[in-house]
Amino acid sequence: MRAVISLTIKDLRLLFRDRMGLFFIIAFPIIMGVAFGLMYSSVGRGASKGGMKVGLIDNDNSEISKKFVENLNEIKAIELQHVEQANARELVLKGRLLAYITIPSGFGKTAGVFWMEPPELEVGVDPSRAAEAAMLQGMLMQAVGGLIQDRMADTDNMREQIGKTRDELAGAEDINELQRGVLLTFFTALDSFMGSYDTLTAGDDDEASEAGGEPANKPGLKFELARIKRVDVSRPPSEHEQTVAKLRSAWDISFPAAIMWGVMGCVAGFAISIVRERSQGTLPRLTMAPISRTHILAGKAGACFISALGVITVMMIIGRGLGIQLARLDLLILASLCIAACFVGLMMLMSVMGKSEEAVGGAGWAVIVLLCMFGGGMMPLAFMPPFMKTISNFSPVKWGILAMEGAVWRGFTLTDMLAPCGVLLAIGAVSFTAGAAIFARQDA
Amino acid sequence: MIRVEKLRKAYPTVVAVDGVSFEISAGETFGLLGPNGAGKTTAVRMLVGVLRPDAGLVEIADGFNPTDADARRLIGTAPQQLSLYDMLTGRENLVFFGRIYGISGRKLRDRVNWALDFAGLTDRAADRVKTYSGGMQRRLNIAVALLHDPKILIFDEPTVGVDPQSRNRIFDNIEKLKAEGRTIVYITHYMEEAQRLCDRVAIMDHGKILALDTVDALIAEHGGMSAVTAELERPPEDPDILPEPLDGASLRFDTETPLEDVGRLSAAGVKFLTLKIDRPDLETVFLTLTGRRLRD
Repeated sequence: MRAVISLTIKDLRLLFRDRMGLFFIIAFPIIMGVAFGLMYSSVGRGASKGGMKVGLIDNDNSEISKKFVENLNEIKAIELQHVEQANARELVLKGRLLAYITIPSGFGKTAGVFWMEPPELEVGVDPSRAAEAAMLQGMLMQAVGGLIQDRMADTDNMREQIGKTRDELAGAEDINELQRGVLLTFFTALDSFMGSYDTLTAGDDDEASEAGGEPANKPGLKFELARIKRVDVSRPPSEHEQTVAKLRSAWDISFPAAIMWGVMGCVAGFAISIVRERSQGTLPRLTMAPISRTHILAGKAGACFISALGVITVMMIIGRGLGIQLARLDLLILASLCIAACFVGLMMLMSVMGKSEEAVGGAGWAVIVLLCMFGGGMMPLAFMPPFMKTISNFSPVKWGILAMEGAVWRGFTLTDMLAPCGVLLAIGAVSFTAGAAIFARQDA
Repeated sequence: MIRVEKLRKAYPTVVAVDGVSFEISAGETFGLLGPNGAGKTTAVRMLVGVLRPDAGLVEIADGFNPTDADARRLIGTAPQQLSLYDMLTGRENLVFFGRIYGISGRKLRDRVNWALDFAGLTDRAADRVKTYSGGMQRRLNIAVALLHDPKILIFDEPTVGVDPQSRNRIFDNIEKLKAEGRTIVYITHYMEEAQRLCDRVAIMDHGKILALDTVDALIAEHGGMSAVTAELERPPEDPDILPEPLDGASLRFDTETPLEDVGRLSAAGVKFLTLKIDRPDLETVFLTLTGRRLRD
């Protein structure tokens, strides 16, 4: 055991002596992790202003079109810019805008009147940003939905529209008598309903005024397409919910992936250090000493394990500074130990992938990139096609992220942690055994 | 102290060691001489238990197998490649390797100080190894091998790439160790080093031992005759006393007893202006045995 401790201390001492090595094993992964964290957190912060720059051409300039623009402006993810029709397409092509929207003239006549032919909005989108374009389409529907609500709320306007429609129906020649009868009956009933609704709600407004409160916007039908209450699933509801909500940070989501990048960088550095020992002749000397190869590997694994834990700790401290809060410290420790153990095993396997520092360095980073790519370290798993989600089960990065998230915000119990931690330990054990077996067969 | 029997190690393209056998007595300095690629280092790696032979037997200290970790405590090896952590100081290297060999506490401190003094590095003990000269690194490499006070020492090309001053210091150190009665295996391709330090020498080439004996015996058996070259003051009155006819005033002849022959000529009144005796050496032995020079 003394020999293993001596080997571990020696490796840690060497790590701290080699400034460039220290940078790549500790500082570089942290920088990379923070950079990924920043990137993810900005993705997660989709509600912030300026997410999507959209050009707007309003050819209608009616009250309704202005209301539509107002509705769009209320969506924080969209940053509207008034542009000229002539250069709108070019601005999208050059990537300065995600899309442009042209509101056609006559938009205000029919927009938001659900029984009339809807006006056609022209939307030109950047084809390379399909996901954001799809989101924009949903937001446009949301803004149009707002118009329907406004129309329904303004009963006078609605009754005027109904009256016009009834007149048009009466004189229409392209429908038969049966259709005309059914539609006229419907609009008469609707007109009657709107009139009755005003009478019914007038008393409510008076009561509100007497109580010192604001009356409802105006007499009219309160109509919503759907009422959506957003629930934060990352926090169990509790009496401290308000406090918790203030502390919540997008880093909770982004940092577990960032930490995995940090650990992977650390592991790559140690994988190279084994080959370096071989090339500088210290490994042959150690094999001539009265210790076994198991001791040598255990010493290296110990140093890698401590360094990986160090990286996780430093990154968690940084994360705490950025606003991460911790659901359960004991589970975080468990997750950290399992992640470190797993990646020590991977380090062992990486170290035997080549016989030179260049070979191991190249192959090691290739493996890291693949594991991160498939494990959700680069792109959240939710955006992946089904086959990639299946493959992700074989990446320890996925299970590492899940274990960290479980401890940080998913509110996992110890039982919930068994699956990710078990998989991590299994991958670590298999990798270490395979790596150690190959190492034992290699000539020192 | 060391017994090697019919040792064999083959790699896919070459048989590195092919049926090598020898025995080394306690306190003996045994030289393994041969050109690069002769199989010396492979043989040594089997001797210290790092490499398992395909066939054959290695025993050290009366029956210990060097592949057993504990048996390796009896051996101190200074590998040909410098095997030091250049980001650690000289003292840190010694302390680390001392601990690996199970030394601790006061004994470790004493042994480290002794090793630094032995290598002449006490003043530079706190400096990182990467700041040392090649000769200093080589001396530290040897000091690490001596740290745990082993009975058997193996030096693999210990003077490669060092300056003459460090080289002499290394020789002096090895002679001190020899005088202490340690068993030394000295691997080199410099015949003059083997001739100076070794009691017996095995000449290796292509994985086989071509000859094994004392230096004198090897020279006597395989070295051939000495060459005597001289310039005479004047031709002798009786030219028949000369072993070879004169070429002008120059005389050249081969003999197994050069000193006796020169003495006899002098006694017969031959006056020498210049005299040179070329005795055969291990280089000549190697040339005789293999048909090529050691450093070809």
